[in-house]
Amino acid sequence: MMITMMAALLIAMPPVFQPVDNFPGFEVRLPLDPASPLKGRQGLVSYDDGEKVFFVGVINDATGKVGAPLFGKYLVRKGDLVFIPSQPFSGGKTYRAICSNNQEKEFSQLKIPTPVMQDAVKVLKVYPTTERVPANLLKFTIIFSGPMRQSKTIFDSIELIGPDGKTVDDPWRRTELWNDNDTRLTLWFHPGRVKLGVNLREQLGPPLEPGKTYTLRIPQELLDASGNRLSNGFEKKIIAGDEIRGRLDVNHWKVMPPLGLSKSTLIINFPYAIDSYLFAREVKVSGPTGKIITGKASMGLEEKSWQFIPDEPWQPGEFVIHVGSEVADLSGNTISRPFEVNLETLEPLAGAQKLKFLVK
Amino acid sequence: MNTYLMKIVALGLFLTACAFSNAASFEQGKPKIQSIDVISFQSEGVLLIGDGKAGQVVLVDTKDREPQKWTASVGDLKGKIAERLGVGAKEIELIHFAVNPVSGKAYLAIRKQDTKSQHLITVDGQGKISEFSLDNVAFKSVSLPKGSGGAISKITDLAWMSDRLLVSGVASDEFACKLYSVQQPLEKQSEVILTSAETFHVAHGKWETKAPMTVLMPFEENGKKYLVGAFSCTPLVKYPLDAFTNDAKVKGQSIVELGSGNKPIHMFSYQKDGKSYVLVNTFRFHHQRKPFGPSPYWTARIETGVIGEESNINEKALKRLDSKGEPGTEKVKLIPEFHGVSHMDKLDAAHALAISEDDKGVLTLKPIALP
Repeated sequence: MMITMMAALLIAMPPVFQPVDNFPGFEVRLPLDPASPLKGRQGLVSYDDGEKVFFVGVINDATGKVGAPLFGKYLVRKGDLVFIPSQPFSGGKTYRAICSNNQEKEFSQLKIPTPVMQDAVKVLKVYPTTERVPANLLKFTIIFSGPMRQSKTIFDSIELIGPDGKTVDDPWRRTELWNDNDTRLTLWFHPGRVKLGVNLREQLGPPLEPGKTYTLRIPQELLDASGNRLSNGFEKKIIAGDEIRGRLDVNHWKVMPPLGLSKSTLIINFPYAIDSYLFAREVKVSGPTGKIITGKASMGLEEKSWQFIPDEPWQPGEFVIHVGSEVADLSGNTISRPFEVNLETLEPLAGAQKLKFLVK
Repeated sequence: MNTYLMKIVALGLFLTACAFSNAASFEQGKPKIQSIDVISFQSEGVLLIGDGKAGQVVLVDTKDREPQKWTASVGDLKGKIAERLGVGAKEIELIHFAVNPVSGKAYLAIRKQDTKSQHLITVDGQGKISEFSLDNVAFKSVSLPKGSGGAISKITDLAWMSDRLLVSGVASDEFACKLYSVQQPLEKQSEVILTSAETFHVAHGKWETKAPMTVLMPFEENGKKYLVGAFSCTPLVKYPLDAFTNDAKVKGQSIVELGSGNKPIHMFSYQKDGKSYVLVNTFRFHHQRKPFGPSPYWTARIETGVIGEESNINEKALKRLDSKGEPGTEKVKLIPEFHGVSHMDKLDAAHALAISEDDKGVLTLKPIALP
């Protein structure tokens, strides 16, 4: 725990830094003067009243001066005025607690050790893993080995390099989409560059052109959650193919049934790469009794196949693969509708689909 | 007691009852919030916090109801807040901004990078910076249903409209826009209408798609209520609220095209000299290529008659710029006084409270007269 790693360096008595087991790890105490208007009070007092007695600030390493009082709350407990900062102290910083009416003499100081550097974060994988993508590719999904720092600067840091070696201008939709622990970033192309008949595309053209080769460049300078750079940069080459603008048709998928009374693998082969996250969320297999089959699912090479190994052996009978309506290809065309609906032809929309297979 | 006095007393009793019933449903404590994506205000100083990761809107009674006069201009706002958090200005990021319409106090949602913690900061009219702690507040939450497809991972905007809460959210993995309309009273199990929005592509009259909304604003005209939304491609689109039904796909009507290469950030309506306007500020990501002013942040004022328009919509929608890139209409004006404004909200009838960013990234918070 961070608290146990911290070392208090007391230069003068009160106020005193006191480690605590619960959040935020430290509090600062000062016995109240008998003449203090807060004497006799119990519980929370206003920040303004507390700050008149003492405050806590961070020492600026460059100037040696103490910064403005930290946010937190003051309370009176057993005759002591206690300051509880609103967050844990940061590693590598020096904090000073100062009596407001005698700032020169009555203060104490606490140096928080710089945390031991963890292994630098790296890019583990970028989806789609395939090199050949449709020119109307909608997004990349970048998987990092550790938590990253959320920041709108990522849209300027992560570049798409065109075939001429120059950066493609502003290809990204500037909305940060991270998973819960900030290890997965979904990076969308700007929809205005991908969609037909939208001003941005009309003026600038699409970000990817069929037949051309591009490089997604994730720079080493990207910061992880601790503010450290990546272990190294990451590049991914993509070759843009024709745009795909039709609804997905499960009839083009090839199901390879497993052998009965075994835990052999159910395989679906696709004629194109599939969005792996949507597929994992939207596809289930049920058995002859209608019960959902549990097992281990994974995407195959370049997201052009899907494998499923059941927890229990397959029993003979008819099985159903339930394909949810949001299953999509790399261009956002789903089982239910193409990414863009043509109002002139307006093909009918579909819902969820079922694929049946027989286990013998 | 005369009739007039009786009406006043009855109104007072009614308002007291409303306030009591509202307060009664709040609980005291620390709300469980996973992410603060956006903030806004309901009436009576109730702060609305959009938490996309938890799929909820948290209402917090700030008890901040004392009106104040703005005399301050707070320079180096980010540096000052960062210092109070014990770090440098580069170690924090401003996530969102709103003004309490009752008190006029500014509320900022801040992310402190090294601890990944989020903080609500207030700035009062004298420039005093404080932290608004959520440790022990009167709060309640409204759950946003997942609906079909994936759960939302981020709330892009929310707003209160006299009798309902409007929320827009996006998902990580699918390209969609989920719009929520929650009728009052707002409670955890409130009935929520979830719909998805389709948008017409204004450059051609041929295509339409789902579209994630960036900013939204309630709008009412001639007794009809609309949600006005702005998108990454900068059309303003209006959606009639009476078309919102569960799992429906609501088709909007594009009403103004502000010009491509911009991302709208904040939007609000106001009146001046008997005329109604909407003010919208945007980030121009094509600033280097073709600037609209000295800063990538620029602001447009739109006459609200444009929003009520019923015939000049979609491919006939009003365009701020003509084909040569020159101003194409008097009804939509670029406002130079707001150049550099990255965040803003309505302060009072005559002012916005705005955060301007200079070319070094230094922020200044100050009131600016509404144009």
